[in-house]
Amino acid sequence: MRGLAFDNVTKRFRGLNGQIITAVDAVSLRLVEGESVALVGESGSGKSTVARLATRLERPTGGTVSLDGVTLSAVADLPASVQMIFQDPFSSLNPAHTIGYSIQRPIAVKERISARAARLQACDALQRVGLTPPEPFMEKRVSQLSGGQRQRANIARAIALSPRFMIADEPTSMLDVSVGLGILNLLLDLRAEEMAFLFITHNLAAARYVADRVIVLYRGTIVESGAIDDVIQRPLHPYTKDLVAATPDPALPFAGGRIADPEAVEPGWCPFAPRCAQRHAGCETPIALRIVEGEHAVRCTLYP
Amino acid sequence: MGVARTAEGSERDTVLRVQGLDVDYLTERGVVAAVRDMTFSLRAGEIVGIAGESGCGKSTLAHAVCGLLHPPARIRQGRIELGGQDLVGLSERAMRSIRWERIAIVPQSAMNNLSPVLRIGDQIADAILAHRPSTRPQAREKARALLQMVGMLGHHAASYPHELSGGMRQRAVIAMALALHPEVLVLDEPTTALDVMVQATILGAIRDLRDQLGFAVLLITHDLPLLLQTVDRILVMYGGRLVESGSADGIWRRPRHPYTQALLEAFPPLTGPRRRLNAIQGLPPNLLQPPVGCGFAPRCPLTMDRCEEQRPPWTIQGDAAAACWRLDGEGEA
Repeated sequence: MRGLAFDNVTKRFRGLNGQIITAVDAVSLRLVEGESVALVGESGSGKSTVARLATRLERPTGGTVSLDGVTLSAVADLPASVQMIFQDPFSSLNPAHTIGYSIQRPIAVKERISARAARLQACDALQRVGLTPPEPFMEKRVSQLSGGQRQRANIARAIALSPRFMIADEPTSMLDVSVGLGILNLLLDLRAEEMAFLFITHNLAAARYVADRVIVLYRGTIVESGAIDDVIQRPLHPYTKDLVAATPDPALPFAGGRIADPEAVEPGWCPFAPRCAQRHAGCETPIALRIVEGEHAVRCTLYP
Repeated sequence: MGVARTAEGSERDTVLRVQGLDVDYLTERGVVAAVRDMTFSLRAGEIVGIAGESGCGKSTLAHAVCGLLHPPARIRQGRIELGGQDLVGLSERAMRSIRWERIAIVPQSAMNNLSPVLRIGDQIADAILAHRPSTRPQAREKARALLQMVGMLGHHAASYPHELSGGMRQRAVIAMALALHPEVLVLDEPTTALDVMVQATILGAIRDLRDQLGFAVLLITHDLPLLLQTVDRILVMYGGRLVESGSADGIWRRPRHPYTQALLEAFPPLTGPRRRLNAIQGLPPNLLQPPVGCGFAPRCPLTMDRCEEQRPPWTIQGDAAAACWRLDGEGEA
């Protein structure tokens, strides 16, 4: 099976007080060649954990993450064909090294080529992300670059290995608006080159700009998925409806947000039940993600 | 200029008026013209948003208004009137009786700057005790009431900051700022590090509290779509200067300055046709050598010869106004 796949993946962490935190709960998803999927959810929904599982920075507690049918945790090395762009451009490049070193070192290691050949590839990557001419940028250190340039350097580091799958974890949330748009446009250019994206964001409007399909994550569980415009225009899950309403859109009146209820989730209940305005006795029964129409799927007892 | 230039109607209920304010940063490399000729006013109960990108001077303005500028920053000229009293040049001692009491600020990242070793309620109580003769139990009780007012629970007063989510910590710092019932609340990027849902709840809470308590709000953010939905009036800053002001609705329907248009264009929409948007090319002006003419001219798609040579006039059109040569001659006398 080609592609990057999560099959029933669960990730648990042990919290500070010894309690078990389920960050990702039985998530199944597939990213195929050249596809662009957005993973949307609020802080603490588990989106960054999904990103770290996809790049094998974390190993699943249960289930499997596989690339082209090969389980990631079974291979000895991180696959070069899945790369990640991190949220914080300020801390994701080593300040002690030049930009050139940070980009060419992984190439030399992964492709077992000479430093000279790796350098040429690094220059090419810088050119593709718009850091031109590349030579002066190769010699600079992170501290000498602006926020937007740093994120471009991070993207250059990631694309230098010619990945087929790119995991972008909130790549613009720490950047200024017009700088962030420049980065989103760069991702669109890479998409046009058939690179597949898992774009992680809390903003549905940004998701819609780069992705065709969206997966909505709530407390580690997929609550809805489908074509992005279907989900935005006809959200089914009560949580997705709140999320659409909370996304700033000057064309619409301010809807406000629903306050996160500090109440704990009863085991077995729908994780959204404590906050849900349409909660009923049936929310106690676990329910699977089911297709409602086309590829639009929802996990909610309102859609049996 | 001054009063006429603000063009905001009624003078009677104005709580804050900033007039011709210039702020410099005196650096080793020279004088940075961080804020220039800033003039605006804020009415009681009004929420005014200040939009602009990094380095446009919006945070410097927020700090100036609250008397929080320290060297190398310096107010070069201008007035900051709170209820008719000029705050510029007041001693720190005099300012201390105004700040928090009458004008309160929630600085950028304040939610991450709560003391990690004190309970939330005690931190709020400390702020109350520093300003009002009161007993600690009374101040604690007040702190609990304030937390409930911003949508938290009374028992959160006993929590340490690390036990609360970012949204809850942001509510707590807003509660702290409102502790002494200020007339003006300044919020510097209050929702920047928060997800859209928390953003919406925080702004909803601020609007509700404004309705109940009647304070005025100066809300600073780069998030123009958020401002368009939640504030009454918007001021757009670029390169240390005000380039446009108008009602939120007016700015959305008819942005007058090309910079405002470009900024609106930089946010992907939630609805409508999906198309590639154009990021603003180039860089903001170097304020060590402030531009002679319009600071946006080098990046402006509509630039003309005189844009770089002469500063554009402030052109008032109804309740909107902008500084752009394209509007010259179309304004009201």
